[in-house]
Amino acid sequence: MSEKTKKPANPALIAAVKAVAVLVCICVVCVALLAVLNEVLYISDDERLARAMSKIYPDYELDTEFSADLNNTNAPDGQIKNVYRSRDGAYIIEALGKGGYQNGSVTLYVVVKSDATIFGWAVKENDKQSYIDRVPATAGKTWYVGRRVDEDLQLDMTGATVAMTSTAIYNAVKTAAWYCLNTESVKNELGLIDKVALATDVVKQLLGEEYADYKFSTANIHQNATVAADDPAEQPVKFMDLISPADYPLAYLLVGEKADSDNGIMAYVYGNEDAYEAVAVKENGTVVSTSGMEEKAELLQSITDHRVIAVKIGNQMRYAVIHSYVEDGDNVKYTVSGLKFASYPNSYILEVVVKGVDSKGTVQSVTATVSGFVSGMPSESNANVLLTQLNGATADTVLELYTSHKASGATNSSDIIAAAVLAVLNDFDAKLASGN
Amino acid sequence: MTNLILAVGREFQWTTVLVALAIAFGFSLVLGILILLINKFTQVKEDPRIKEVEKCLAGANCGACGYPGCAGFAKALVEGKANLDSCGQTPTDKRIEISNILGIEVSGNAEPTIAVVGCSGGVKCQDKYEYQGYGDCVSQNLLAGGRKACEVGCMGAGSCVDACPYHAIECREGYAHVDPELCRSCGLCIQTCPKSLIKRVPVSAKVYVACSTQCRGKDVMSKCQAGCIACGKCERNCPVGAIHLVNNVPIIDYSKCIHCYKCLEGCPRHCIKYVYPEDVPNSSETAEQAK
Amino acid sequence: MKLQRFKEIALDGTVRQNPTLRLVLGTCPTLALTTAAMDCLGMGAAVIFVLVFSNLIISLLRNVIPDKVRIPCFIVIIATFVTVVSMFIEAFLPSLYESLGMYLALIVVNCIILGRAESFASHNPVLDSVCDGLFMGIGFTLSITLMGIVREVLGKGTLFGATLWNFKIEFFAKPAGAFLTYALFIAIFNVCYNAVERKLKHKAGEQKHKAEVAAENTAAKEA
Repeated sequence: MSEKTKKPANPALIAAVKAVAVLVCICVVCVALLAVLNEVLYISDDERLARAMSKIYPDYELDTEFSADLNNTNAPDGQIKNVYRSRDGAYIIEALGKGGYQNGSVTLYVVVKSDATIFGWAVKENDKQSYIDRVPATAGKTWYVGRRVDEDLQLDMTGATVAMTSTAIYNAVKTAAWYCLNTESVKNELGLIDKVALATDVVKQLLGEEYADYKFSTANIHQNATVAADDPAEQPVKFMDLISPADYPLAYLLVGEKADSDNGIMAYVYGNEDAYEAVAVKENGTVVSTSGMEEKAELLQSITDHRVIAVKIGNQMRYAVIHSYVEDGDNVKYTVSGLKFASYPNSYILEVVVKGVDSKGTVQSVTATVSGFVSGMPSESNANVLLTQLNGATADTVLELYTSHKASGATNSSDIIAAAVLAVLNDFDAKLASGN
Repeated sequence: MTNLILAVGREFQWTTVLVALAIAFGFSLVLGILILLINKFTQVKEDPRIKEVEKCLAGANCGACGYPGCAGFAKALVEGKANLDSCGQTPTDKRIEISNILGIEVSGNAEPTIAVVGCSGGVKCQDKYEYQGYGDCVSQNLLAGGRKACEVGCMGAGSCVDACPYHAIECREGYAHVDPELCRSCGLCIQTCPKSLIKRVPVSAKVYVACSTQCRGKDVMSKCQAGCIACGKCERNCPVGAIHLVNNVPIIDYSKCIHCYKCLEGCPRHCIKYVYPEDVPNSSETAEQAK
Repeated sequence: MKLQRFKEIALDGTVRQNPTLRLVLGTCPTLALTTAAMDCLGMGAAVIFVLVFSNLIISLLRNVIPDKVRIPCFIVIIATFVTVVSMFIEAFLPSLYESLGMYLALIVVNCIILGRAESFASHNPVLDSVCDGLFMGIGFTLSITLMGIVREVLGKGTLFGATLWNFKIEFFAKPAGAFLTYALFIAIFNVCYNAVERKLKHKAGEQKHKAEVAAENTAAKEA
């Protein structure tokens, strides 16, 4: 070829090759060392289990003959990784809980004793939970401890300053509970009765064939949700007080959802697992009850008056209670409560004026007589803005407005307000359709 | 507290190790080549002489030349902005090398120098007032020219001590002494002294004049026991005429000095001193003259 | 290695160029981990390990690593040793591992380690570099442990985990208190250091002078 190839090698090129060669050598040697050490110092699953148990359950003795039933590992909010058993009958469930910080997860060992109570939990590993050290060290011995696996476990965040990691932990514990309830062998071993399933059966029987494909689950209305009192001048009352009197407490509040519908069916179940009695409220507002409730006329009246409507907002069920509507010419003024579903904010009580425009209910104005926003929170003004943005909304456009508003903050309050207004519009449209 | 759990380790899994090595190899190769390619494109074209000159310099980074470190000085030299004499520390052979690289002439004093303090009053010099205040010589000088009765008397408060990067100066008996072994003639003390008492002498010098007062006779004697009274004995004693009184201050021409010490021995006030302590002869009379 | 050099390196690392209080390097773990004195000891031990070994390797390879790829090579070596120490701690001291949390991984970017690699190990012989790493680590450990003791006693009322009394000023356990404590430590240390240095120089000068005078006097007497 040309004479250039016969020239002595370019010193700059040699230096460059040497630089790359040194870098590559150092990297490869270091990685080799690390890979070898990784094998030597590897901490196996058994070792991790032993360490976790030494923290919360030192008396643990692994039952080596136990083989776990892992047919059913995908829970709604997590996954089951493995199940172990102790010789004294306790189950150690390795559960992964989703919904953590940065969409990560937490894997816990949850100890469920033979009397179906949660004895404690310890973290095995986590994915992307950088702030997990803000979960108190004693959480494994205090959070959810003593709760039964067939109970409605409430999210516990005492002493932690991290919400999402705590949610992931809650999901993991819930997943472990779910496993216990949904795996035949474990369920029988622990003597669990799926009470919610029993209650659901009663409700389904009540509703009949046409509602057979509805899926029921416990409603997540907060214990302290409030609704307007009968007399507008009085203070709002706790919703639970209205439907769960002291002498005849509510067993479950169920919500039935169907895939292609945004509305939900509410069911109030009273009694115990030996004999459940239920009151169901169909989508069109009809109250259906079963035997036993005829003697509870007051309670039935209360339920009829404070008809709770379940509406799907942002893929979650939210709840509104329509108290009254007053017709004033073409306008109808509704008084509606949006119910609180988390520890904050509070319930809203709104006055919504609706008019029929082109045979669709259209919002004329929304005012909050009781603002649900916890005063002083940073996005308070955001929540109040939604009240004006909903002017002119119809049942179809409420969700759009809600979604675009949510992007700017105040999500919990937006959910409550949107649910209330949507419930009102649906009711108006239904009345319009039936010729009111 | 420590629970030593020893059940660690597992069977060696070659696949994991090999995968890790392959990734390491590939990654480092790609990134190494990337570094070099980018380096080639972003290389700053620097005059190669700058690095060569910098290697010849003393490398003390003292800043006395006025440039940011030896690198800055080298750059200025190559650009022709600086004078090689600004650096008192670079030895002669290196200076010649630099002058060869740059094609300039080596000018002026080729001989290296050290600093000496032109005052030996200290406790022997009277005070005008007692200074009780903040700081050192520079601050003291603001107050009626310092506390010493002599206008050019060393206050001994240590501004030069702090300035010296080689810790070559210390204050004893109320005035500053430069240790000739440690001094590198960077010149920072010379710039710092508010009385401008410090001066450079060649390394080969054996004696120096430790007084700078332009007063004479009784004036001096009333203020300081160690001050030069400008009697002129040194000038008369010198066989080669290397020392002359200029404005009542004896000035030594080191190119002529033959190191006979006659000026030192003859001085009635003992204000001419040995530069190097090891030159001090071992006799009790001249013990006074020890540094 | 000469004893003089050893003493010099030892003093530099622990006092004269103490990385926390004089050079102000590695402030991230200093501020974050000094809430509990026990964590400080653990972190200090890990840093000593990493410093010693990375200085050792970098000093061994100082003539081999070309200038252009200097930084990636240093970082790879340092990261390797941090991973090694992290693996050891996770395997054998799980409680320490949990309490150090993410700060163990942050040792990689701790300025002290890269700083000493760059400014000392890359142009000094092996034994010197190892000693420098060791003493820098010791200096770091001592200073953060002292800070940790102060912050823990004042901010939580405990010492190494054991409750001393009921009194606590929570400010010291918070980040603002960390900064304040750190600043006070730097100030006090430097004041003492400067005073001691001045005294030592003065004494050394005086001693030299006295020795010279004594030598001449004895010589004069003999004469």
